[in-house]
Amino acid sequence: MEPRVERFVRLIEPVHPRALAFARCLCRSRTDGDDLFQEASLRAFTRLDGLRDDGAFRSWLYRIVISVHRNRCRRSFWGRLVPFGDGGATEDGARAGHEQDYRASEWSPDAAEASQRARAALSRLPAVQREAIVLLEIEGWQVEEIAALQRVSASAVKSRLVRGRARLRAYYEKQLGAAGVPSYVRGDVP
Amino acid sequence: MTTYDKLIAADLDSLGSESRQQLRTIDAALTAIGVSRGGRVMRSPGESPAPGGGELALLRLASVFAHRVARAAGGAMAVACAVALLVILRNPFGYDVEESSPGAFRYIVGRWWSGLLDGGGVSIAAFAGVLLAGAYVVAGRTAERAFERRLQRAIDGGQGAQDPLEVARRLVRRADGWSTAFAIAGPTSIAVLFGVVMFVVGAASWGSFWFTGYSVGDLFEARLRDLTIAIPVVVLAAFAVGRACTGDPRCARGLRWCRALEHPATVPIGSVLGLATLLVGLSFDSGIGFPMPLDRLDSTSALRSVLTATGGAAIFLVTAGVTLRRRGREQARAGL
Repeated sequence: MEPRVERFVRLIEPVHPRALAFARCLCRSRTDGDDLFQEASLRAFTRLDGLRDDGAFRSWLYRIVISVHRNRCRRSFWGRLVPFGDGGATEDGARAGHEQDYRASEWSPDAAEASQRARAALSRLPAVQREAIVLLEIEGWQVEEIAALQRVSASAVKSRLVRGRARLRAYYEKQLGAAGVPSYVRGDVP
Repeated sequence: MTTYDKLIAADLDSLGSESRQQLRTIDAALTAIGVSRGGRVMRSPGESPAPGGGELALLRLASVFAHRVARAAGGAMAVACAVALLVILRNPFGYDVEESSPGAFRYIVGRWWSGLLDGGGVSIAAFAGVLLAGAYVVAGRTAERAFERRLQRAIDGGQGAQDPLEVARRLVRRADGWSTAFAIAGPTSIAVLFGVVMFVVGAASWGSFWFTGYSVGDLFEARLRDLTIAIPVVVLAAFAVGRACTGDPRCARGLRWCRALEHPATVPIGSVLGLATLLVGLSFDSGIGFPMPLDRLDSTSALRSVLTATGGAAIFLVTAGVTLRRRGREQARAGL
């Protein structure tokens, strides 16, 4: 029988980049995303013996990421009430962490601004809607796959997507209403 | 598609691209959770843990340890409350409220006991609940500090420095048996005691039965005899389960019992048995605190003793099932 460590390394290696990127998209900053993925991979490692089908590892790992993310969302409610030591739990803290991420990267200012706007908008969504939108729009999953991952029906996922998009639109309208839509998008309007 | 929809789609694309920038390598990610490609699970002694990785495992172990110690303390307090109440109800000093000139000691103790018992079942349960919660909180806090001190000693040990993760795991394993035993014994013993006594006295004051119980025959006395047998049996059974959970090779048979009790069907079986006991008791054998004709009271009824036994078994099954399943989840969470 293959040792657990070797089995874990073999399974996580191909899915690691996408799963880490997914975790980063769910969080308010890249650092928070790294922490989320780390906790999820630790949980995956400790529970690996419970996974019978190696072919299902990717969705199993994503499900763990989602589960850890939801736990953190619940915890952040208390974090908002008692925000000591957790920069990511507050708006300013998230922005500070985000700026720190960009100082370390070579990302262009426009793209950085767009990405930051998307993060801020996504953070306004309930966790289930945020997960559905990230999986569909960024990760390129099918609605049926998301439904299996979130353990709901396809119609429930569609409903989450519609509501999530409506909330995103409302947020953008509110935030950009006065400032206007950036020129690089305005030029594309038919 | 509106302008805003286009903007949202573009921003999400940017977010996706940005999230794939500067990804931590798989080796770094594995090291962070204490796994390396060579097949080793944890880092060598003395090596400083990777940021956020070893600490995360230690935090989990600290949390599991604190909860286990807190559960053990809460359970021990519950057993102590059950035993103390049983001793009080048995009235070993023979305190009699109508005695004209009791000795000073018997008088003081008797006044205190009668004051407690006169409060009735609800106030006694509230008093026991406060003690239990206090023990749980204090023990949890103390365990957290003790855990930190023990790990600090392990790290600062110089030449004899030990792997903090190994030390932490050992501490958590050591608390396993005690926490399992007391988490089963405590709630079971106190629930059996309250269930049996409340079944006899109903909503009336316990003290009135303590002093005048003999006027209703040996109804109350016989139930105390049942409890004197049932509570030690429950505590011994819980300790047998706790010992089996420590993985002692001499307890192979006990380990099989543990697995059986951990089965998901245990709690439903215990609940059904408990409900059946309650139903039979209410139908045929409710006590004098209930609206029941006195001529139906039969203190020598074997049915009452059987109901005490089945009720105790039902509560034991439910608490053991819940405790062992929670323990299984903890073991997985702590990587034990």
